[in-house]
Amino acid sequence: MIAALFLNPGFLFVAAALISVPIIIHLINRMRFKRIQWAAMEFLLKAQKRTRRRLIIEQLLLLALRCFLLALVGLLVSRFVGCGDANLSGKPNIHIVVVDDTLSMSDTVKQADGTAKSCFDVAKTDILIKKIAKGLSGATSNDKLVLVPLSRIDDPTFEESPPTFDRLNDPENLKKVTQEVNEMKPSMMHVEMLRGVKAAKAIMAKFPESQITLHILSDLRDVDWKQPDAEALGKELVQIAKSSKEVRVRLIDCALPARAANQNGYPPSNDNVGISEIRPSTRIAGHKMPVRFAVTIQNFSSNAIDVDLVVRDENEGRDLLDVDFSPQTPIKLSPGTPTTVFFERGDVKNKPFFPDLKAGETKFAHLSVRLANRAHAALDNDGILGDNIRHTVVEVRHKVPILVIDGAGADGRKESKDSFIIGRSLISVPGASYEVVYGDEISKSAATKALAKTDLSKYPTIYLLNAPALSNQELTNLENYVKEGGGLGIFVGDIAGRDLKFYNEKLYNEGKGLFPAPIKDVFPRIGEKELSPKESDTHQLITREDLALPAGENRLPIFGPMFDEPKQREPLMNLPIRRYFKVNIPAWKQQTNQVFELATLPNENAAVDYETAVASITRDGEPYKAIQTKPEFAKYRTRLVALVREVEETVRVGGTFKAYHLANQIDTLLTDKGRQDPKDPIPDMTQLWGSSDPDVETVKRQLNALRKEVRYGDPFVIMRKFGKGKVVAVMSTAGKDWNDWPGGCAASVLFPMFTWELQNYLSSPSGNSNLTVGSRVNLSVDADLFKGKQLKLQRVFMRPGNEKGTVEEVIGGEVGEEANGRIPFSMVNTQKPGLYFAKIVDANAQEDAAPLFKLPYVFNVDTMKEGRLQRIGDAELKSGYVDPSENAIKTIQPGAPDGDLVPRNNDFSESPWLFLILLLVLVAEQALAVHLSFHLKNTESDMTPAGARVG
Amino acid sequence: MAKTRDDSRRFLHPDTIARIARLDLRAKQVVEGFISGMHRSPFFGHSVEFVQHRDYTPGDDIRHLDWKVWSKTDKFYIKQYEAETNLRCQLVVDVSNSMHYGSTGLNKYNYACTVAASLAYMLLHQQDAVGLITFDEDVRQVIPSRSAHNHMDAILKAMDVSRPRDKTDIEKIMHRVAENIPMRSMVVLISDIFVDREPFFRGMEMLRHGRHDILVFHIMDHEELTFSFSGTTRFEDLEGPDVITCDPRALRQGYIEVVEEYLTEVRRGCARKGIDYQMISTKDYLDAALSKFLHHREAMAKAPAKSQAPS
Repeated sequence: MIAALFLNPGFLFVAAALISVPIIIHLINRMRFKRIQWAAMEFLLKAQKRTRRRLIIEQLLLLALRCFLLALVGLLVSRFVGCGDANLSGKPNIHIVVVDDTLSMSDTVKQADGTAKSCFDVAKTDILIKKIAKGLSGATSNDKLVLVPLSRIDDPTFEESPPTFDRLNDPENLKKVTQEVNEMKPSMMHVEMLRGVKAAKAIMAKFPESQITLHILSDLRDVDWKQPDAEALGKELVQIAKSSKEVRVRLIDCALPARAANQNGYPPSNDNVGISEIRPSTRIAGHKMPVRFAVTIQNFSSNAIDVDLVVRDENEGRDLLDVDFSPQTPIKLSPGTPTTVFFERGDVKNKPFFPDLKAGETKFAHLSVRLANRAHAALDNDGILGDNIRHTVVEVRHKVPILVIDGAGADGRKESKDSFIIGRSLISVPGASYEVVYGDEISKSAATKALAKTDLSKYPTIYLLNAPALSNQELTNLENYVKEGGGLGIFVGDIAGRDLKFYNEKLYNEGKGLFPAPIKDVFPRIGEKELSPKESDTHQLITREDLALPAGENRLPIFGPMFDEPKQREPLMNLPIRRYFKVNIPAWKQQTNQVFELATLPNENAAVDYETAVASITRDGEPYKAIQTKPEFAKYRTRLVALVREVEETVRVGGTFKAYHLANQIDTLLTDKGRQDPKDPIPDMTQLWGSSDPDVETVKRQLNALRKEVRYGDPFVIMRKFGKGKVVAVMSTAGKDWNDWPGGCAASVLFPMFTWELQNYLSSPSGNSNLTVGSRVNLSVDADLFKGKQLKLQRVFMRPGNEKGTVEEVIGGEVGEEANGRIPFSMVNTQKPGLYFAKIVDANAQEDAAPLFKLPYVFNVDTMKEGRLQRIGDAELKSGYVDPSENAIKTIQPGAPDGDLVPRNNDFSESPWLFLILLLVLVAEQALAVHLSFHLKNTESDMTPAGARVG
Repeated sequence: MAKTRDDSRRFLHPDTIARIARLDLRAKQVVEGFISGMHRSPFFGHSVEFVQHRDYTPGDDIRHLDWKVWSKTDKFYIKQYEAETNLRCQLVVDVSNSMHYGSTGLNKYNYACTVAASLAYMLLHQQDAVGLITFDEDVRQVIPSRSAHNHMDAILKAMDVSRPRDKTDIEKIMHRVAENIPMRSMVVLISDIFVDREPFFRGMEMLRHGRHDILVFHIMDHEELTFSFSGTTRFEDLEGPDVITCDPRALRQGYIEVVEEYLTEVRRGCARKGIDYQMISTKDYLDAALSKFLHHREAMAKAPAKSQAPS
């Protein structure tokens, strides 16, 4: 396109017309002439004859010069930009625009004229089209515009060829950009800006000899931009800005209302509420089995907001209006703190998911929960609507199969044995539809062989009871099963105790295996006398509520729900544990956020061992002494001294007290509430310990530290996360071989509850399953199970269609290739929130054949990252991102002058060479014209007449 | 420009003269503005004022013998008188087509006529005999030289030409001119000399053989000398079919060179033949021609010294 070579192609035609002007003038002059009756024709003829040839050449030259002159003027006015990639006016300008199209950009503000405008509208219309693209349309043709929408950086087609536009001075190209940008919509995804910047950096590397402007069109939210969390982003931007003088970085704040001087440095932001999580109590439920859903709602604003919740059955496309929420709706959301709302579904009382589910059938209950106003319509004055809805899925089977691998095989199903106890407990779960499958029955031989023979993925939970060493194949299968999200409960026993080496080396494997801790030994050793069961003076199982909770949990797994009522702990006084696996604590590598001690036995060490430690706090402790002398604590003195004496009594040399006694005594010292009796009052010690006196605080801290040390004995229930799944290991038998918990003691009433909660916990979706849109999920299939078949993954999105519910939409697929015995697949292209299925089909089977199996995945928006609309303050923006000294990074408001974004570019018309050539041609033309006597030196009357010298 | 000139001469400017319609009045204006009775006749002839006696030499006309002196002294003396009307001047005026070109108020023809009339007027006032020959293609009018005062009218009438024709054979024309001048005269040729040079010089030569004093007033229009036209112009030959369309500015340099060569050739040719030559532009003041004429006459008087009056 010739027009693309010019910035003002309209003038091109004018210029072309101009070039013909001298010729036309010449022709007109030839036609319009004066007539003169001339006498001295003889001389004229002679003169013409002499000069004719020279004249023609000179005149043609003059005509050519004049035409050329006008052609140059034409180039000047039509702003010729050169035709090659080499820019006459300098290096080409590359404008890389990172467009933040994450969910938070859909934040919408009502304008004064009543229309709604989102931050993304500002980014694409006000900035990208009206400023950057328009600015480039007046620039040279070598300038390029590269778009980096954050939602697309993982797209392989984007990596290959990011959307690039050049020669925007051609109206056609400009139209194309405008059209493409107008079609852009904010995605539902959260993508870190750092990744976008890195993608832009990779693109920058493709244009080494260019002037690069990196535009970042974002809403500059606190959550993404505030230092020090966004330190890496700040460093990356500064590094890019400093990498070359040819690089400029422009941060453009697209959030509404626009940043202004009168906002005290903190631009206002919209209120927003959103659902950050919905978690079913189990990922696989039996028919008519209750599933408890926990919905966590965030209120990111600074006001309390009332909302209603609406649950929708997405399969059928109807709102479920008979759901009972706890607490009841409307739900009051206090600012800043998350609110959790529960509801149940699935059992007869709360309506089963699929009332007519047949035996052997598996269905997926796809529910969504959305925030609504009282009229069940969209919330008013809510910044982002995308985070008000959240999807979840529960696999519903007629019976939920649970695999029990018992080292004792069929013997385990005898009364009081492991399998018997576990099977009975699971079946007794209220409303449960569990079907316990025994490993030895499947394999017809050793139970563990079942691990190698069956498709484990159909079991939500596997129990490994007193299992002997597993073969490598069995272990690998089990590991893969947990990795893919399965739940594994491990109980030990004497068979396991004989294979301690396997447990330590293979199953624990220095923290890399399934077992959460290394084992020192069986305690007491097999063959030695068991611990004598007795009524204890302390809880035999102590929960570790002092430790950090696993990510995504708001209370201690298993024991949290069990001990909602503190009274329920009382039976723990009588829990005879006769033998257990002692954890090798010095060798235990506890990976943070992976391994969690849930409960321990009491510390059975002799209390006297802690005599020195106690003395250093009490008898020799200066702060303790100082408290006694302080008059304000005088009323506590007697009681304090008495309680401290009791503590000292427990550690007295020669005494028989255990460490847990000391812990309990310290507990009493710290928590004694005294007596309110006016006749004989005893002061409330908690008031003393609540004082902010530094000595009191010191003593309290020392006592707490000591209590922690002396309270917890050997770990008894340990949880670890493994891949997407969970493992819970109990250090004793499930049956009554090593303890009386399943029956025969006071604590036995808690055992069924423990197994239910354990089952619930193991089958619940793990924190990792809270997938966010756009993320990639890898899955793998055991190649042995599908030998001889070529497997194909079909990615299916359940598009919420119409009143009839979701509609399947195939969004891609791939044929798998085996690697190391597994066939890996991945779920990608999951930009929309909702339910997706990974359908594994036989590639050679007919198209409408049923899939071999299908796995559900729910992708939701990242409410925690995208829902917080608070914007970064001016000062923080300046200190973290703006480089005032070099001006390479600059923040720009949408109202800034256009030149700040796209500097006016030079073109050929601004090249000094053009003007020089123009000048030279002009001079040459004038010189030639004068030479040809076309110009009079003076007035005509002063012309020297011929014959002046003759006369 | 006129202001810088002598104020008394302002009436001699061609533009001024052009405003005077009648040629006789023009002549009067020119002559009276220039020289009224300023000069003395350099010739001797029959007149009233006796000047001297000289010895008779054989061959002298015996009519001039002073018989009274012979009767007293018996010697032959010749009486000599100062002649006042003894100059014969023949004006030869070119009235051809080419003379009708003029860029200013007076075209060459008018200018030439004014010069001729002025000369005639001046000469007649001094009782000199003036004749006129006009020519174009051929000799058109021949007015013999006389000194009568009423002769002026005849001269003026003869110069009035209605349909001018082209000059063709200048030599032939000069031949006819020579035939029409019976006795030795002063021949004043007023022409633009746009003719072939060779025949022209031969014609001049012929006149010189007739012992005539020849004075050439070469009249050129100012534009013919400067060629200061601009804009595309079609030049159409006044005396021929030639046509040139050109940008005159482009041709000017070459034209000026050609004209220079031409003028040089004419001037040199005249000089070689002992012809007094004066190039006059139509922009020149009209007294230039008269002044030249008087200078020429004085030079003539000095050259032959005091000779006998022509018989």
